[in-house]
Amino acid sequence: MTFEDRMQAAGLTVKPEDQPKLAALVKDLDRTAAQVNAPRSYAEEPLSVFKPKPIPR
Amino acid sequence: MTVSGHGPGFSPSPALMLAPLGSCPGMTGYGPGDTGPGFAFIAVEIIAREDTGMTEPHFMTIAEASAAIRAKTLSPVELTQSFLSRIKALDGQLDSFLVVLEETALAAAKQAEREIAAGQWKGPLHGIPIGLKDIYNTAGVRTTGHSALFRDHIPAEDAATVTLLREAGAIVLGKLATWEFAIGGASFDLPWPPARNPWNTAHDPGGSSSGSGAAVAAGLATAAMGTDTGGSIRGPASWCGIAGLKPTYGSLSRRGILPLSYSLDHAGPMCWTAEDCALMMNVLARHDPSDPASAAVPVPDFTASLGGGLAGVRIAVPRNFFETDLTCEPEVLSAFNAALDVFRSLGATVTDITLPPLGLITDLVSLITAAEAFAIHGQWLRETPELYGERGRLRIMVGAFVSGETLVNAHRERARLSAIIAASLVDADLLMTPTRHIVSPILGDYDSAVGPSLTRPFNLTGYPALSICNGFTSAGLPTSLQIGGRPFEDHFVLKAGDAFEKATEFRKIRPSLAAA
Repeated sequence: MTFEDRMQAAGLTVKPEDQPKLAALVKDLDRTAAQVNAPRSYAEEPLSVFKPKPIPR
Repeated sequence: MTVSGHGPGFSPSPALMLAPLGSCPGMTGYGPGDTGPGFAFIAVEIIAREDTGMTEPHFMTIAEASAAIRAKTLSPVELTQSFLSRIKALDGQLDSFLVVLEETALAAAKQAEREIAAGQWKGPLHGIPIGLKDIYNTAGVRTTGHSALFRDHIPAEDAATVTLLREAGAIVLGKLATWEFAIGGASFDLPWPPARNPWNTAHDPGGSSSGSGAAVAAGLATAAMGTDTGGSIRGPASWCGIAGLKPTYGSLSRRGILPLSYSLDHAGPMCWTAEDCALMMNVLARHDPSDPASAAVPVPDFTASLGGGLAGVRIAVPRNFFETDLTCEPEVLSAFNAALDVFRSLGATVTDITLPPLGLITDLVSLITAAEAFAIHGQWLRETPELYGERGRLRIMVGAFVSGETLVNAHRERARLSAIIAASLVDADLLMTPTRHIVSPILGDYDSAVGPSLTRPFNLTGYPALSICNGFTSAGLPTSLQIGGRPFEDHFVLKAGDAFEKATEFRKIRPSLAAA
């Protein structure tokens, strides 16, 4: 998927002069994504698990 | 400006002196014969007259002003007027205020004066003038996020923390500059200019709570509120030479504060001293059932543990953060190592440790911030991108490119890294680093989104972290120390900061601004 395709999928439009700057930020983000998407145990839970609270009677 | 009625011999205009920084305790790296940059002199403002020891009202801490107000030797009205006059005279150099609420501030000050005269003193914030970062909602007063998108946003209610401050008798002077929606960096393409650093107005005050840092350091407000998603309280506290506390996640309500990143946003106080941050925390730390992240935990008296030494306190220093993962400016590193000597002299022990790479922690916080921010701003960025400045627009837009898989795995990685940092606090009570690896650069020259950040580990974990001033460079710019601690032990972090400030002389030096 090209950068332009990803822009379109996200419904975003940017000025032509902004596109290289955004592409550079996306490149950094993709590098981080590759690190966090490394193989993990299925049992490894995220910090953002849902925590229901009791409802007072 | 002239301030009158505050006691005999009061000086209407601050005097200038040349201060030998090498003479300040904790600044051993700057004296003659040391390995630092040499003996340094800077222009500073004397804030206490030698004959009376009395501090000018606009440079009083909350603790000092509150004691004077309670003793009825300082009037909240005079104090408020002195700030309003000073803002008029000086803020053209700093652009720290977006809105000054002169009428309502004076009305609140008069009310405080009446209440105190009638014996109804509410506590240490009664009659104390403060500023609010312009992402705190204020009922009937425009809250812009420093963005054209919210130029006409007038909230119906105060943020929960603003309500608590008003109930405690604090006087809101106005709304303070920020980076656009607390993320955009120092920008020149917004409806208002970026704030400037009072130590040198060509320099960056840091952000995103830029106006809060500049106003408190310059004596345009006794204290201010900031927010911190990746370092936005501690960064400007660092570069403006003040104290800024990012409390434990969940300690302060975020209700009514424009959100940036739900799982990383923190509200917190920015003051001249750690003691003042403790006084603010006594009012601000409350469980708020309407904030999903608010913690229902017992709230301590944050001032109760202040004072005394630090005998037996164990300090861990993750040196890899700032000696291998990041390169500190030499004067920043010298000041940091000198600060550790001060803590040793107060009875603490210091041990070097290694934590996971700072770059990974920083990138993870950036990724989560971008994804959560885009969830908030996505619709506006699709419909009216032109209403954002360039930096804010691009920094939030990048969040559109985070997949669901990546965001979940980012929170799994966050759990893994947080557990490692938590383990480091089993055998230590505090973590210490410089707050920033560099001192304030020229405004506009520095992109805070690039490179590892020493503040992010405490956003990742949600643990408390305080930035305090630990010296000045040869160019007269503040250096800073970050003190992190265990969750919900904010009072202990503040105790360490207070002990350092009282063992050193750095709180006696203020930036000098002359009326144009």
